Parts: sequence; C-alpha cells; structure tokens
Amino acid sequence: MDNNQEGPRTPSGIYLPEGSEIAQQMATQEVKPINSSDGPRTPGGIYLPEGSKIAQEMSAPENNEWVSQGSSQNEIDITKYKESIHPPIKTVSENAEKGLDTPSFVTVKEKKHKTPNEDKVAETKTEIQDTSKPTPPIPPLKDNTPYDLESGSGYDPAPKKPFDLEFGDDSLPEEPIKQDSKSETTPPIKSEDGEDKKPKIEVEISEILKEKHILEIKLEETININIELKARLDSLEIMLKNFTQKYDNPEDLQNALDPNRQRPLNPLEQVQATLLPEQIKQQQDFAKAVEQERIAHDPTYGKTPEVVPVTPQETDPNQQRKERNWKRAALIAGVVAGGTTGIVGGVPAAGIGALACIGAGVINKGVDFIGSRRINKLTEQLKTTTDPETRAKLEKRIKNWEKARKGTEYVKSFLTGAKLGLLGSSIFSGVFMGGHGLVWNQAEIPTGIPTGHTDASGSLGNNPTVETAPPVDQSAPLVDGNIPTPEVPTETYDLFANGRLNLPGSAMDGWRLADIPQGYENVPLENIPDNLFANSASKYFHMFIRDAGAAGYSNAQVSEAISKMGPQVAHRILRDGAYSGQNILQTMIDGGWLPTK
Amino acid sequence: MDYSIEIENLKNELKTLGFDDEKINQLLDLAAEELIEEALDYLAENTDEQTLDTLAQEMEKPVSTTEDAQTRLNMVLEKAYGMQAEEKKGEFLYNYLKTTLEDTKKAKDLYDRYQSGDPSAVAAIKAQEGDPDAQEIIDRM
Repeated sequence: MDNNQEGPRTPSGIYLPEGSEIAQQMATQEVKPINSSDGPRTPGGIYLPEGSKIAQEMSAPENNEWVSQGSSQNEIDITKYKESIHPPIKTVSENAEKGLDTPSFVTVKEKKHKTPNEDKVAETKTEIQDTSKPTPPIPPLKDNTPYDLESGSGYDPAPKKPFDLEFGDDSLPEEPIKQDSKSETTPPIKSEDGEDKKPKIEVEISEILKEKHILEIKLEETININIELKARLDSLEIMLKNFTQKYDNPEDLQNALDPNRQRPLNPLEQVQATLLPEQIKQQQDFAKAVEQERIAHDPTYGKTPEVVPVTPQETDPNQQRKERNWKRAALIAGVVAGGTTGIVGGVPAAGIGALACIGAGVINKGVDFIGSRRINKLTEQLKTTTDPETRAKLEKRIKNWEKARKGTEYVKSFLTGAKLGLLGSSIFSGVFMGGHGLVWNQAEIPTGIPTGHTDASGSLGNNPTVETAPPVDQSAPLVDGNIPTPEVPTETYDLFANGRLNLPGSAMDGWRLADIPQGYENVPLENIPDNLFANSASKYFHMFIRDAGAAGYSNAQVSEAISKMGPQVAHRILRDGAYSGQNILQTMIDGGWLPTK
Repeated sequence: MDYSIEIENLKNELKTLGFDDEKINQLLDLAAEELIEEALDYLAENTDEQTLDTLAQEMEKPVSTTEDAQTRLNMVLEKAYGMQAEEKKGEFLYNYLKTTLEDTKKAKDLYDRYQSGDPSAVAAIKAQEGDPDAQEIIDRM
C-alpha cells in the first residue's frame, strides 16, 4: 500500500484506496481531513472529533489543571516537592539543568509495552541481586610478567578496573523537548478500550531513573573493589620494598646471601610477630572482661574457701555435754526397754524406758557440771581482773585452750569418720586401744639423726623443757678398738613377735614395738634418750629382750613364765617397766616366774 | 588396781544386761569423748603456759591419717596427766562403765516394777512425764 498516493485519507492521514469500504464510509460521514479541521486535539496534535468521548474527557478544567480520571492512573504528589509540573517533562528538564534529582516516584504500574532497555535492566538487576556470584577477580599483574625485584618493573601499580564506567550526570540531553503550548501537562490518555495510556516521556524518565539507580549500585561496587585493590597494592608495595631492600653494609648483604644463615623455622614468623601481640592483647582483654563479669555477678569469686575437711556439728562444750548425756541415757533406755515394743500402761515402751532413766537419775543435770568447769572459772576471773598483765595472761591462756579444744573437735570428727566411713568406737580406739601410746601403733619411725626437736607425741608428761636431745654418748663401750658392737638380740620371743606386744587380755596387746632410733643402733640402750623412740616404753622392752637373751633365757622359758603369771600380772609388770623404768627381767626373776641364771 | 581386767568384767556385765557389741562400742566412744573433755578442762587450769601453747600449735595442724588423729588425742591426755595418763584413762573408763552399769540396773529395776504395777514405780515414772530430756532421749533411741 502506497501512502503517498493521492486520494482519500483517514483523519490521521492514512491513504485509503478508492472504493474501499472505509473510504466509502468516510465519504458518507463527511470526515474532515485532519489538517483542515478545527477542534480539540490530543497533546500530540491528534485531531479529536467534536463530541467524541475522548474529547469530552480531555476538556480542560477552568483552573487549567488536569485531574486524574480514575484510580488506575498513578498520581504524583506534587505538593511534596512544591514544584510545578506544568508541564512535567519541562520540570524534569529544569531539574536536570539545576542539577537536582528528579523525583523517582514516577513509575508505571501498568506497562503495556516493554521498552527497548527493559530486558537489559531486568537482567542487570538480577545480576546485582545474585550475591552468590563471585566478585570480580583481582586483576593480575601487568601482562602476567613476573616481578623484577631490582627495578620493580612488571608491576602495574594501577591495575585496571574490572570494567570502566563512564558516568554522566543526572541531566537530560540539552536539546529541549518541544511541547505544545496548549498542553503544559501530560494528561492521562485513555485508549479506546478504556485503559490508561502513559505518555512516552514518563516511561522514558522511569527508564532513565532505573538505569541511574543501577549505575549507582555498580559505582558503589566499583568503589569497594577499588578499596580492596588499594589494600592489596599497599601490601604488594611493602613486599616489593622488602624484596628490593638495599644493603648498604656489605656484611649485611653477605649475611643475607649466606645460604647457611639461620632462617626462621616458621615462615609466618614475621606475620605472627605482628599478629600475636594483638591476639594476646585481645585474649587479655577478654579474660579481663570475664573477670569483671565474675566479680560483678559471682559472689564466690575471689574468695578463698576455707579448707576445713571436717566441721564438727556442735562446738559448744556445754551442749556437747548434754548431747553425750542424752546418748548415754538413750543407750541405757534401749537396753531397759529391751525388745519390748508397743504400749506399756498406755505409754510407748520406749517412752517408759526414757522416763525410767530419768527417774533413776541417769541424766546428769548439766548445770552442776557446767558450773564446775575450770575454763569457766578462768572466764569469770578475766571479767573481774583489772591488772593488764594478768588479763593478758588469762586471755592468752583462754585463747590457747580454745585452740586446743577446737583441735580435739576436729580430731574427733576425723576419727568418727564423718567423711571417712570409719566404724564405730573410733574415738575410743584412738584413746584406749593403744593406750598411751597410740604412738605404739605409729607406722613411721624417726629417720635420720635426731635434730633435737622433741616429737610431742613421743614425750610423756607435760614437761616442755625437754626440747633438745642429748648428743650421742661418746663414752659408749667400744669393742675391739673403736668399732661398737651392735646389740643384736640373741633370742626372739613370741611376746614381741612381729614387732608387737602379744599379750591377749591386756590393754597393751597389739602395741607396736618401736625400733631403735636410727643412728643409735650401736649405742647402749641406757644411753639413748627415751624421747627418741617412737614410744618411750619401747626402750625398756628392748632392754628386756637384750638382757633376757644375754642371760640365756629362751623363748620357751619366757612364754612359760608369761603363761604362769597370767595376762593381768604380765600386763602390770610390763606397764611398770615401761613407765617406771623398773627392770622387767629382774622383776620376773624376783617373782619366781623365771629361773635364776 | 588393774583397770584393764576390771573394765573387761564391767563390759561382760553390761552384756548380760542387754548391751550388745554395737552399744558397748558407742558407750566406749562416749567415754572417750568425756575423757578428752575432762583432760582439756584440766589443762585449762593446771598446765603451764608453754605446754598449753605447744599443744594449741600441735592441735591446729591438719590430720591426714587415723594414726595422726589418735596421737593427737593421746597428746592431750599426756599433756594433762603426764606419766599418770595411762592410769587416768583406765580409771576414767572404769568409772564410766561402772556408773553406766549401775544406772542401767536402777533404770531396769524401775522399769520392771512399773510394768508389774508397783505404785511407787508408777508414781516415779509419772513424775517424769513432761521432762524435756525424755523426748531428747527418745529421739536418740
């Protein structure tokens, strides 16, 4: 179809072949040529027949402002920017000239046709939002040329950007957009089917703004890459500086080139030298923060717990005295009631037993006992004494006494097995079974030459003045010149078999016979101080063994003598010998239990 | 007096009254505690300053073994009674067990008479009702 032919045309100037149906129709309707007709036109100059629907809709209001005809048209909040939009495109261009941003809220919701750049924009958007994609690689060194350490050539100090962007400003092309003087604004245009049509310029503005936004994002990315590259460049420059270090001193150069020079074992030593102090400081800061946190919130932090393995439940001596009374009475009441259970005369049997004990005076009423306590007397004395010296002595005495008593409470708790699970009667065993010597049962024997300090457990009596051991008696009898003869018993007696006193029926049965103190093996027993033995009585038992063996008394004779006298007499003789220094052997001979030699 | 033999005799008598080994052991423990308390009380007034000071220092040391603990208790007795410590221990234990034996006999007699309805025994028992010590005893039976 040739549009340049002469002939009938549509109002918009489209050629119509003669005789065509449309031409005939137009002829009958007397359609006026577009250029020759006067009447309403669209902002684009398109003629609108009078009375047509579009013409009516496009009739301008009196205030010369267009009003949106429907909600489908995106409305622009003009007051927000307080700028005239007559016409809008002019406002955009004016903003561009002023260097201002055009409001970006001009968007097209219902877009009918894709713009040529839309696909490209969408693709770019997707690319930007896809963070999983790796960042552009750092450009390699120039032409992949290795570094020349001497000259530094081959290194491009300003590597190219991954892509070069040329940014323009926000201004639009300088060529002004010609506008019809009659239409300063872009009124909404509706198509024949009633849908809104966006002016082309709005769509283009929207496209430009989108592209601008995309370019801004790319610019930001590029800036970040540049920062990273700058850091890399700095590190490389430092490395280059190290590699191209000049050695002014020939000796330094020689040392550096020496293949046998001692190299650091750790290749990261230099890095660590800078990083480690920082890391250590961070750790210290962290530890400090934790400590402050604990100080603020942990009430037990920083307090050293008192090491008290066994804490007596009750330390008040008066209350303890009562407790012991009750326990003793309970033992008796249990025996009195026996196996009786149930009710006796309307009262439980146990209750009757307890009442019987009280009625029989089993309970010691503690008042008398407490009143008689000596420590209470001291306390009372302290209250009435005014002399400072006397008061100081009394106070010190009371204080020491309390220390000693506290110690016994601790020991008793230990023996009763508060935390050891020991069997009952432990305290009794500690005091009686082993007698004065529970030291008899001590496993450890003093070793080495005594230093002169007295073992408190080995000393009898309350004479604290015996602090130093006398020196070894140099007048000890010598045999064959200067070599003393060891005093080895010639006979082993069952009475002292296995290093223990074997005397069933005696409280001393099982007591341990302490060895002769080390260093005194060749010294006569008489010259060894008693307190050097783990228990002093052992000295006299050793003397008995020595003398009996020297006199020729056999084990059988001694055992027979013990059997004759019985455990009670034997116990008394041994006890007197141990604590009174009485000659045990002579006593047995004098008593007729051993024959005279 | 040989207390060891006498103590054995007392223990046997207590057994005949109904004390079994466990009860006797408990009794002996109480006796030992009482003995230590007596010794400490004696030390408060009858020992010189230096001895008491030494004892206080020794007793403050930690105890690691049973033997250490036993030695400490005997140290208290020896510091208090010196050479007489052994004699004192035997004497005290003897008296303690003897007193216990006598108390048990008296209480048992009262109990038996109460059971048989002896008015004096009933009156004696009733007279003790409400004594706070009675509940303490029952709680420990």
